[in-house]
Amino acid sequence: MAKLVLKGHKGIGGVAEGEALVSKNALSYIFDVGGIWHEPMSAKVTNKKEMPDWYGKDLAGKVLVFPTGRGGIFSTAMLMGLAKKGLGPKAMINIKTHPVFAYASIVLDLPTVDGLDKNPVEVIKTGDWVRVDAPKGIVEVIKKGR
Amino acid sequence: MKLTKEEEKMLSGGYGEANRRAMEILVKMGEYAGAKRMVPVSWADLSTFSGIGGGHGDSPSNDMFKFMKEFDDLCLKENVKFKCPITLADAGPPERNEKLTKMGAQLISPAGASSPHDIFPLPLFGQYVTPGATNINTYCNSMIGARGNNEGPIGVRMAAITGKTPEYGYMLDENRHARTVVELKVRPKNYIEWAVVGFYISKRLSAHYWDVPVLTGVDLVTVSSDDIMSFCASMNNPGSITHFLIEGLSPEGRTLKQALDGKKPKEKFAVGTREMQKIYDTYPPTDNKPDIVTLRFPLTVQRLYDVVRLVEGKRVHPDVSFAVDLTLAAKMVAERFGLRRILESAGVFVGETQGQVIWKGRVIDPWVQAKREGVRTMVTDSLKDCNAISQQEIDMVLLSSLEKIVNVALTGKLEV
Repeated sequence: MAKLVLKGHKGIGGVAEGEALVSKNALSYIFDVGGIWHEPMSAKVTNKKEMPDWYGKDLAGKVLVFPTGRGGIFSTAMLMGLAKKGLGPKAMINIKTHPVFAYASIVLDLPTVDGLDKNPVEVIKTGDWVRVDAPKGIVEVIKKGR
Repeated sequence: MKLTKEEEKMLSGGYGEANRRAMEILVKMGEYAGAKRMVPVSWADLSTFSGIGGGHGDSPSNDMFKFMKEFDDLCLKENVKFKCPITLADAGPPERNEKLTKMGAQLISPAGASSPHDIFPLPLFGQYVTPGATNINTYCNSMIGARGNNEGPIGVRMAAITGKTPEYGYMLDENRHARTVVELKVRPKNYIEWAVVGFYISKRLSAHYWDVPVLTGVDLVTVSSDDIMSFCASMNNPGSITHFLIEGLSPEGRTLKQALDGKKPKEKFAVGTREMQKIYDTYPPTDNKPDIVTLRFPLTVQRLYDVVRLVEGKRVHPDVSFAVDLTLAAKMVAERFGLRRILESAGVFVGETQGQVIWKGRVIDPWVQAKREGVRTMVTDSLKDCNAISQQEIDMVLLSSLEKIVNVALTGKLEV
């Protein structure tokens, strides 16, 4: 079983594992995740123009791997709202976590790491199984299909 | 992080539970971001999270509103006031306004204010600040030389209470310098064109917004603060550029050499008419008839007079809803000199808070309600609107001048 380990610094929150969803684009929960305003509510990405590689994907329960956050301060509230309904991500892995997302992770105790020794957006692929140990700042990746 | 004795006392509950909670959150943020210490905050802006809840600025289940309400109630129970010397807030529901005033905040602007036009007093060069709205933050960093990170409502509130914020990101000297050179090869004609330039740059740097851009080639004689405020707004849209420099205009970028701290840039690119057209093409005219036309970027006094000139003695097309936002100063001028009456006689809706439009006789916030209210096509001067509302699968159309936008409102026609 091919296993990759990424090391960084102490993150936010505890330990979580799940299936990775990877984007090369920066994410905004207010501009991109329009599913929050639908009935029934979802964490579905609806912004085709700015988030094309995640368009139509549901972010709930995934380990999200993306470079950083973008645009607007409302992502904190949207993440809080989705997490309360059980639609938040399992964990977040960034090149550099945007402070708006970091504050959400702090109040939600959501495992979040950044500053890793390898670029997570390049080495982790969608579908990989990922374990995030935020207290130790370690990410273990089991490659899909190996 | 190394904390002072006072900060340690806060963290251990020596100043009560509210201060303990606030300092705990700030320390977690500081440790995560690699801060070595806390710094004193001179200016905090609680605006853009008005506490209205259930819409612009909050989740459908009002989670930020509930979080803040619980925290404010705790502060009031413990008689804790904002320690930050200048703590500003926009108006929300009366109960919230009363609480914030009791805690020592100054209510200064309408709910949802998110433009430097309406935020005063502004901070000073070198001060540590925690602005609320992204474009206010960018203006403070880039044009004033105050130092702040884009943290959102929780970071701002905790800093305002404790009077401290972790020193990381744009608060550090090494992150104040430019790493990207952007050559402006076009002279933007108005605030919308400046927004288009900002959108292009922000999009290009979105995955590494911390590589601070410096703009060269800006016409320093004709550029206005209004242009730059519009530029700041769109710099935080497809990306998150909290700090940029303009050669010869920004206090930390008097020369290109100063902006770059004498170092070679990581990246260079140019913005000209071709790059701007790419942005217009993202939000092009459609064959649909326009439902809503909005001047979302608040009208300054100058642009208020421009719009009045364009609509005076005319009527907005009956099939179109046309809404404008006014800055506080423009609102005062509009009411004092009868301009609001001219606008309203022409059928223009003047929103009480930013972003409001009227649709089928009701005031709605299109950011969250456009789709469910059956809106199909909106024409706007705001790329922020385009970005936020197009994700609801609404056709958003960006036009390049006030004249073109007002013409659509009057004729009810979009020329493709």
